[in-house]
Amino acid sequence: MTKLAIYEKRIGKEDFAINEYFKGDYILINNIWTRVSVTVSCAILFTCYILMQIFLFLSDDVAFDIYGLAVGCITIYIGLMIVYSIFSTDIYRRKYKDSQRRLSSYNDLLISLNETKKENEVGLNAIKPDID
Amino acid sequence: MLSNLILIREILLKLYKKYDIYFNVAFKFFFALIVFTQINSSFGYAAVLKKSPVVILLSIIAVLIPQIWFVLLVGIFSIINIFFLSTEMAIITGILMLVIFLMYVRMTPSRGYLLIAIPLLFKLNFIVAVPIALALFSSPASVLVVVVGTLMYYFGLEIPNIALYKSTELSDLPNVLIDMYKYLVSNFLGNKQMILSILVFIAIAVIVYIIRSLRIDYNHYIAIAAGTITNLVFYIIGNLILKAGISVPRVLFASLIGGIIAMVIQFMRFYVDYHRTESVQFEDDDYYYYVKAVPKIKVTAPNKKVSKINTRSFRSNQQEDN
Repeated sequence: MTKLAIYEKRIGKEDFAINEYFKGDYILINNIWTRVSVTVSCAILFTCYILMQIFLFLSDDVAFDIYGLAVGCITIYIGLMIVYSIFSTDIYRRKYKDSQRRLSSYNDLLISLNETKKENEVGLNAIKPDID
Repeated sequence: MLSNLILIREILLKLYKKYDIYFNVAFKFFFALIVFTQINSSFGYAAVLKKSPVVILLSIIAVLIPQIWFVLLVGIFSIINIFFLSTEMAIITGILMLVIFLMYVRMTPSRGYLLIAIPLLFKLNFIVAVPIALALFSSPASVLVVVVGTLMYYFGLEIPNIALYKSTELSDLPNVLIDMYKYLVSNFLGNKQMILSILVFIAIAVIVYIIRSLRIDYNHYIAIAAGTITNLVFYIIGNLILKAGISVPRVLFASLIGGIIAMVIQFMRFYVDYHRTESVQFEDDDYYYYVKAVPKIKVTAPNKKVSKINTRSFRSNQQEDN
């Protein structure tokens, strides 16, 4: 009972939420979020970088190669997308596997608790005095 | 000697299991207290955030919130401090923290405390233990937390220097941002010490992971020794090639301390008896198994019972006898 309560209190909620999904769906949804995060991060960083290049071009007259800049940014973005997709798939696959393992032992505990409860009930019925 | 150490380990683990709620609360509180105090000592420009009641209150809040929120709290605390020094610098720091949050913390929220701890461990020269321990108990990819933490540490060192560029009017802002950008490119991204540290930590993680995956006796301890030696050798060679200006005695000290800490962590996690290794083979419907089983050493603490003799009743009995 204590083990079940501790599990439910600490990580149970998260595991139950993960268990709502099939493995493929869970990984896919989280991969989409990862790609959104990478896109937003890249957008922020590239905007800052391009703005700096424009400022440098205006103030110091440094050459501003739009084509090179665009190719560089797209290459980095695609590279990051590939790397992050691999990492994200690995991370969320492990997370799903761990949660399934924990849920399985949680189910075992529930079964053993149920059996103990049944045994106790049988025992109580056996010692019940016959009133009639 | 060794049996005493194992006994101490068992007692400590038993104590932790018994009072884990209190230990965890105390750990979170003191960790947050140290983090906020260190941020204040490094770049505590906001007088209001330096006051003890504020730091204690924030530490209490840190106990109550999850790790991912704690990382955000530390980030906001740092940005507010930097804002009092330079608005431009606070914006740059905010952007970088947002990127780190989106690209790293969101995916691995359970590494939040470690990420925050890395700059502190750097300061204390204990950092070598982190890539070794991560590669021992996790995958080598987890060294990413050390890389991000290292970037944060070196960026933190540059903050007072970058903030020297200040704009008095709004029209100065582009020029100041350009100066900051140039400084960041040359001094932060081109920081040889930082680049060398990142490369060394990645090398340690890979080497430790390969050795601990080998099916040999004492693989964990050999991996720790290899990690320590890798740190020492790679730093010295890298220092010679890159001329990073790293002090060799400091690297030696950091390697030794890191190795010892990793050894303690390994010992606390599990201690096995390689003399009693068993090799067994069995099969089921689908597979044939070749299993090498190494037993863990466990010592039960002696249950000492101290019975108190009531001296008063003893004396009164003596007086009655007389």
